[in-house]
Amino acid sequence: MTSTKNWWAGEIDWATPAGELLQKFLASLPKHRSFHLTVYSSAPLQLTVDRQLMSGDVDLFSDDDEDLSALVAAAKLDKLHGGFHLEPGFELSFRTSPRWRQRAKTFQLGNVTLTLPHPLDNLLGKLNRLEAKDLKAFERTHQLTGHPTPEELKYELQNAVDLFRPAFDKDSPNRYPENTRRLWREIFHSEIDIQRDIIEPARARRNQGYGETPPEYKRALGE
Amino acid sequence: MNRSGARTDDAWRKSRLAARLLLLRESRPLRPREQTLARRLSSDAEVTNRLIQQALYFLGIGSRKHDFDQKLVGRGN
Repeated sequence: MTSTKNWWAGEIDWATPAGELLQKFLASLPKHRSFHLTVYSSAPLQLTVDRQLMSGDVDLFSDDDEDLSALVAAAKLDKLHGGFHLEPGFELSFRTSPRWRQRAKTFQLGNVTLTLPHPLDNLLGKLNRLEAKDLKAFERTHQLTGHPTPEELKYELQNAVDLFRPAFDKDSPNRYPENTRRLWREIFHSEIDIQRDIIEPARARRNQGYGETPPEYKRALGE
Repeated sequence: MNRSGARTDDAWRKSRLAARLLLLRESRPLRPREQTLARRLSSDAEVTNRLIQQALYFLGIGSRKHDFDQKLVGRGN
């Protein structure tokens, strides 16, 4: 089953705010070495799905786990310089499906390899927060592409089931379960049962790979 | 090639031996030496139920597995 094919061309509209900001940054990077960058969250949606989807910043990280802060600051594109800015982070901040890399698009732009995750993966990452603008991103993507359908999203959430594990600490609870239920009501106008529709099917598929549970052979051997 | 210390496939070899003993016990009672070996393997931490199960399949138990399990350990696996 595939739920991401044939609904995303992945063509960049450079005449968007995110496109123009990225071009400025890419032009500022040293030319003597290569860079591997991934732009995630709202910006790829603005660049490739709906230019009207606005955001205050462009989230990006280096695929090599390089801290990009100094490069962003040197280009005067960080938040301290005000306005629409770049927000450098690390791959760990992009909480989404483990399959995101295999459906992302990659562009070679001079000495920079730029990766844009599939809209579905950017949307999955937004489920952690699901503010009004995140809901809008789901709504617009769904309006413009007809995807993800409830079944597609359910399947992809099953593949990303670890997003639903309890949080590390009580101060920042995991909001994926609650926000997924809210998303279903707001976008699909129906209810979803996280345990029944996501966790249990995912566990069944995962356990199939672990093989059947063996009987107590060792005990029988010792009797 | 690692030529020093314990064999890296000890767990698998011992589990396969355990599986052979279980299969043998299906056809006849184990002899005293075999019983001693079986008891030793049953308390060996490297031997696991999962590896014995893999070994049973490896040794060709095939579709007999369910009946074998029922008879041996009396479980509905």
